[in-house]
Amino acid sequence: MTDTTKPPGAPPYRVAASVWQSIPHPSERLIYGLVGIVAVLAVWEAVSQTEVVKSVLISRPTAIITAAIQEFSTGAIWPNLQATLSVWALGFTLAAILGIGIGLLSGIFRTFRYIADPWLNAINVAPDLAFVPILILWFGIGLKFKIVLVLLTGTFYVAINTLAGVRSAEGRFLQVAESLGASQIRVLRTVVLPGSVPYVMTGLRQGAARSIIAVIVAEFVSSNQGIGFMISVAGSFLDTATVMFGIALLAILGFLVSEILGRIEHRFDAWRPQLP
Amino acid sequence: MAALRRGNRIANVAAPIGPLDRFGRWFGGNRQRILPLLSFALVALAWEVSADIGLLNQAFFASPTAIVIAGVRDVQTQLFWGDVRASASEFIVGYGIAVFAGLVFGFTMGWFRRFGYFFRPWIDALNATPSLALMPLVLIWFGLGASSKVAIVFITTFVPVVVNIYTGARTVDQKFLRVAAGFGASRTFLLRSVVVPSIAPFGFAAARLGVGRAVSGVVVGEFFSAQAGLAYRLFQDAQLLQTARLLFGALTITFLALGAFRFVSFAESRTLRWRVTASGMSRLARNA
Amino acid sequence: MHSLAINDVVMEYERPRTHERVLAIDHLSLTIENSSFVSVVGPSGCGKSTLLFIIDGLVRPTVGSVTIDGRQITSPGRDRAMVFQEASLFPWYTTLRNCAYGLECQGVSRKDAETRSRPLLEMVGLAGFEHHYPHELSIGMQQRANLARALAVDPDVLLMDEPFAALDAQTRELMQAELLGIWAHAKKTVVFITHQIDEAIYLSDRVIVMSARPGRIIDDIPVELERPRSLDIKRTPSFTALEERIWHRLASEVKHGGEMERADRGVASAP
Repeated sequence: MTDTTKPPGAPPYRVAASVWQSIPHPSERLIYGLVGIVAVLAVWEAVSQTEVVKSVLISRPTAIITAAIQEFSTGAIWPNLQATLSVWALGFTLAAILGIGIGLLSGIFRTFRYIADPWLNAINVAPDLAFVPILILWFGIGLKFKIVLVLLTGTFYVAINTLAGVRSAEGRFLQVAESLGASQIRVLRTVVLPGSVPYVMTGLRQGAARSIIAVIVAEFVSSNQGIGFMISVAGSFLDTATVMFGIALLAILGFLVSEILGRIEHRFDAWRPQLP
Repeated sequence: MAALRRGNRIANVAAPIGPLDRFGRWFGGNRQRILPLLSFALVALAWEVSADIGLLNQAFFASPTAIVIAGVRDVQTQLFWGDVRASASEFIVGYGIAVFAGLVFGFTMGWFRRFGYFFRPWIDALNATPSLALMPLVLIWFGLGASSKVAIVFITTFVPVVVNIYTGARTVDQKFLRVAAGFGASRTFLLRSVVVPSIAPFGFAAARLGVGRAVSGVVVGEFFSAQAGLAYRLFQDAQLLQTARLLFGALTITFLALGAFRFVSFAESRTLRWRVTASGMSRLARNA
Repeated sequence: MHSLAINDVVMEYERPRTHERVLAIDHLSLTIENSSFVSVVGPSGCGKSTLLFIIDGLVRPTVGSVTIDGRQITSPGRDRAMVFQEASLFPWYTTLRNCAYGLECQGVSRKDAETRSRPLLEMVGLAGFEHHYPHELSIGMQQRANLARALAVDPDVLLMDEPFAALDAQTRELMQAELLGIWAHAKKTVVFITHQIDEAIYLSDRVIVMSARPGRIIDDIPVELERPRSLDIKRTPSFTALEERIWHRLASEVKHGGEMERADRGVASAP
C-alpha cells in the first residue's frame, strides 16, 4: 500500500518541491485525528448550547456523557449489556462452528460447494431485518428467534472466509505433498488446514461484528432488554442523549470486537502467502 | 483438492460413448450450474409436497404454488405497484445522492491526507454503528415522512462507500505516479489522467457494495414508519399471517436488488472498457 | 558541446519506519558527452536507480547537483525522459494514447500528440497495435511501447532503468539490437542501467561500474568496439575480455551488496 502523496521516488527520498508534496510526519495521523475528534465535539457542543440547531434534535456531548454516567452509576446499563452480550456470544459460537463446518465441507467437496454456495449468497444479499418477519412467524418472539438471526448473519461470513482459506491451498503445495507420498487425509491436515487458519480468523472477525448488529436488530423488534431495546425505548421518549449514548456504546463494542479479533488475526498474518 | 482427484478421470477417455455416458459427461461438465438449480428445485418440491400434505403448516410455510398464486394476484393490484414506487424512489434518491457524495468525500479524504486523518475517527465510528440503531435519531430529525427513509438509505450507503473509496484513493500505484511526474504532468493533469482512472474500479466496487446497503436502509426505514413500500408490506403481511404474500414480497425485493446490482455492473463494463475480467482474458497468451 | 554532468552528488535518506539514515550515493561525479551511450552496472541496491531519478529531476540530491550544459536540473523536464523498469503503461489508455502521454503532459492536444506518436510506434515495431490495451500486449511489446513513449517527447537524454530485465533471454537480445538501431537513428544521450555485463558492453561507449551501497564509481571503462555492432560481437575475444575485466571488478562488490540486501529484507529497501 502506498500513500499517493508520497514522493515519486522510493518513499523516503526528499523531492524537488515543485513535483510533490512534503513527506508526511509519522505522528501526523494521530494529531490530525485527535484534532478532528475534538473539533467536531466542540462544534457540536457549541451548536447545541446556542440552539442554532434545536438541542432536542442533536443533544450535546456533555448531555451524552451525563446520561452515560447515570446509566453506569445506577447500574441500569448492566442487565442490558449482559443480555445483548450473552445472546451474541451464544449465537456467534454456534455460527462459528456451523460456519467453519460448512466452509470446510464446501472447500473440500466441490459438489457440496455448488449446492451450498447459492443459498449462502442468497442469505447474505438480504438485509437482516427482512428475515425478521418470517423468523418471528416461525420461532416466535424470544431467545430462539434472536439466536437464529445471529446464526443467519454470522454463519455466512465465517463460511465464506473458511472456504476461501481451504481453496487457497495452492496447487503447488498440494503437488509437493503428493509427490512426497502423503495420503489425502495427511494433506488435509498438514497443508490445507494450517493454510486456512488466517482466513478463518478473518471470517470470525467479520462474522462477530455483523452478529452484534443482528442481536441489536432482534432486540429492536422483540425484546424487553438489551442495548437495542434501550435505544429503541429512549428513541420513543425523544431521549436523544440516551439514544446517542447507546449508539456510542455499540460503536465502541463493535470497535473492541474488531480490534481484539483483528489483533489475533494479525498474528496469523505471517502465515499468509505473500501477495505479489 | 480437485487437483488431487484429477488423476482418476483420465481412465474414462478411452471408454465407448453411449447415451447414458453422454448425459453423465454433460452433467459433470455443467455441474456448477446444474447443482444449485437442482437443489433449489428439490427444496421447492419438498416444500410444496410437505405443505400440501399438511406436514408444514400453510400459515407458517406457504407452499411454492401458493407463493406463485399470491404473486400473480399481487402484480395485478395497484397496491403492489404503489409499494414498488415508494420503495424504489426511496432507494434511487437515497442511493444516488449517497454514492455521489460518498465518492467525492471519500476521494477527498484519500487525496488530501490531512483531511482524511481529520475525519477518519468519525467515519470509522459511523461504520461500526448498525444503521438500525441510528433510526431513532433519524426519526427525531426527519419525522415520520418519506424524508426519514431517504435519510437512512443515505446514511447506510454513504459510509461504506466513503470507506471503500478512501482505501482506493490511497493506493494509486506508485509506478504510474512516477511516470506522470517524469513527464512533468501538472497536479490537475495528474489527477485527470492517472488518479481518477486508477480509482474508477474502486468507485464501481463501492457503488456495487452500496446497492446492498441501500436496500438494507430501505428495509430499516420502512420498518419504523411507513404507509407504503415493499418492506413495509412485508411486516404487515407478517402480522396478518399472509405468508404467501410475504414470501413473494421478499422475492420481489431480492429480485429488484439484483437488478440494481446488475445495472451497476453493466455501467462499469461500459465505462471501463479497459478492464481485464477473469473470463474476458484477451489475446494475452503470448506473455513471456 | 552539450554534456550531462553529475557534480559530486551525495544522496542520503531516512528509512520510513526505523528512521535510520542511509547513504545511498557517496560523492559521485561523472561527465557524459552528448550523444554517447553510457551504461551503469553495479550490485543490487547500489543506488543506480536513485542516480537515474536524480538525473531525471524526480529526486533532489542531498548535496551536489546535476547540470546539463551548465544548467542545473531541479525537476523533470522536456530534455529528459525515463524508461522505467516495469513497463508501467497506463492500463486505461490504448497503446497509442499511452505513447502520446508525454506530449499531452506538455500541453499538446490529444489529436496532435497521437499523430506524432504513430511513427514512433511503427519504429519500435508496434504498427497495428495502436488501439490495443496494454494488457493485450506481451511484456516485450509493452516495453517497446514504453520506449516509444519516452522517445515521443524527443528528449536529449534518455534514461533507461533495466528496461529489459523482465524479458526472456532471446527477446532481450533482440531488443538490445533494436535499441542500438533506434539509437543510431536518433543520436540521443543514453544512460542505461543494467545488471547484465554483456548487455552493458554490447550497447555502450562506456561502462561505469558502481560499488555496493553507498554507491561510488569504482571504474570507468571505455568500450572501443566498432559500430554498428551485431549480436555476434558478444562472442569475440575482445568482448569477452572486457566482460571478464568488468566481472572481476564487480565480483567482490556483488558479494558485499548481497549481504546488505539480506540485512535489509523486511524493511523497505532502496532501489
